[in-house]
Amino acid sequence: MVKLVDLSQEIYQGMPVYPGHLKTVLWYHNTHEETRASFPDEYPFRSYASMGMLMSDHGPTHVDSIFHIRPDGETIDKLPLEMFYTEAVCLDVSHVPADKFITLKDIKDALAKHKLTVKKGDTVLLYTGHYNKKYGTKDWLFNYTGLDMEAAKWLGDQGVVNIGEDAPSTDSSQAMKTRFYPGHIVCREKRILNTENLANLDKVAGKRFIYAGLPLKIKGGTGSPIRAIAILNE
Amino acid sequence: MKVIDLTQEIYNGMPVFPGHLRTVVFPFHTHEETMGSVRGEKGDFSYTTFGLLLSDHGPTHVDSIWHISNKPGSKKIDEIPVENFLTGAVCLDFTNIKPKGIISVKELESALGKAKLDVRKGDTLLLYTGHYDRTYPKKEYLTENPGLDHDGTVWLAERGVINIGIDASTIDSCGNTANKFFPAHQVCAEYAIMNTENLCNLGRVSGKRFTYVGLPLKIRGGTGSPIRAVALLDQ
Repeated sequence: MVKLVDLSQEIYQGMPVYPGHLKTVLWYHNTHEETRASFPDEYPFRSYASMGMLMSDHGPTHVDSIFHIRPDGETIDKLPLEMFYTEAVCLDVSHVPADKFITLKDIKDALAKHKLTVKKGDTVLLYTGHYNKKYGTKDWLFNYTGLDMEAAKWLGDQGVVNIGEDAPSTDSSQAMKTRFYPGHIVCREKRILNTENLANLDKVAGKRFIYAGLPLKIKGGTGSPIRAIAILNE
Repeated sequence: MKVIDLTQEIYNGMPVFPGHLRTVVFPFHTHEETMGSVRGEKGDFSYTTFGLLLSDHGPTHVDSIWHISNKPGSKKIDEIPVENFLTGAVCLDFTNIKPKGIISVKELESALGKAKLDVRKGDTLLLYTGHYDRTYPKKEYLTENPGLDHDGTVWLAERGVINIGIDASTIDSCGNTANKFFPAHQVCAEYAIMNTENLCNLGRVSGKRFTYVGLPLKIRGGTGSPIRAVALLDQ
């Protein structure tokens, strides 16, 4: 029996966005009331509504292209679709405090606990619990854990194609001060995707499944908002 | 498994259905201006982001029921279960239908027979008209496409189709929409069926059964959403 789990955060005006990125603005561009005037009375179909949206390509739940972090990297429309629809594992690292890093030991302990391995071509999701605990508070954007260099390098060496987490970045909030982003450095070196602002990872932690997080086909795009889901065979 | 992209590109100046917001994609952070903001192991580096101004019905997109019906209970895009966007699907060939022509019951039955396919409850049904291949991105893309009539749409609805997609900007024929007549949209509103518009590459899946994926962004109160539509084929 196939079960789908929605791993995406909501998109709405006023939603938190990584400091410095474009904020999200939504409005009704056509309303049912307005469009009614343009349809003849005798027809049954007489109105429609549409929305306008202004957003960062890194605002809501999104995936980074390689071009996001290196000028010679592939833009989002040039990356193979197969990278966004892959096998995946989700590791429970929710015990790591916000002011500490996720270490290689944390990753290996989680794999052992879950009886899982990381395979070449996998997407690896990190369940930090930050979304469940802190979304909607100031801490959401300013106080969260992230990969340290050894853990990021190890994931890179396993041949993963995408690293995702339920926080605003793969890198700890400390990176905003230190300018040192181990997760992004490894993704840049190894041309690995990075998926940020996921939700509901508690529902897939400790499991292997199919991950789908397909980007919009934005010409030359640096990343894209996505609807991320897990496809479980249960 | 093979993944086939059924999605049109998003770019400044792309055709958008008349009356909807146009598409603007703009650099928000450039590599030049952010150089040095990230400290690497082998020297500093930079990053880049874009800003996007989009209609939720601009590029390849899916309509919510609320888009075409404001009756109480008509679902907005964030209220529709994700299961409705990852479904069994068939794609039928209507490339023989002329511009502004009509796809009705006879044409649907004939195309299904030729493809030796059936329509099942819960399916997504894709209409390969060839209109994208013939006209995109010329003006005719928005004004000349063939499409479903009332009876054809009811026929699909009665068979339990939950999403109808097309390689044109609307599932209604421009022969009708030129007069503000949208019978296919009306039937979709009545039966609460989704529309997926501005697909492409349908020639690659025409005559086949496959898994269709076209997940909307989780836009609160959204009337629809741009999507990355793909076909998953077992090989």
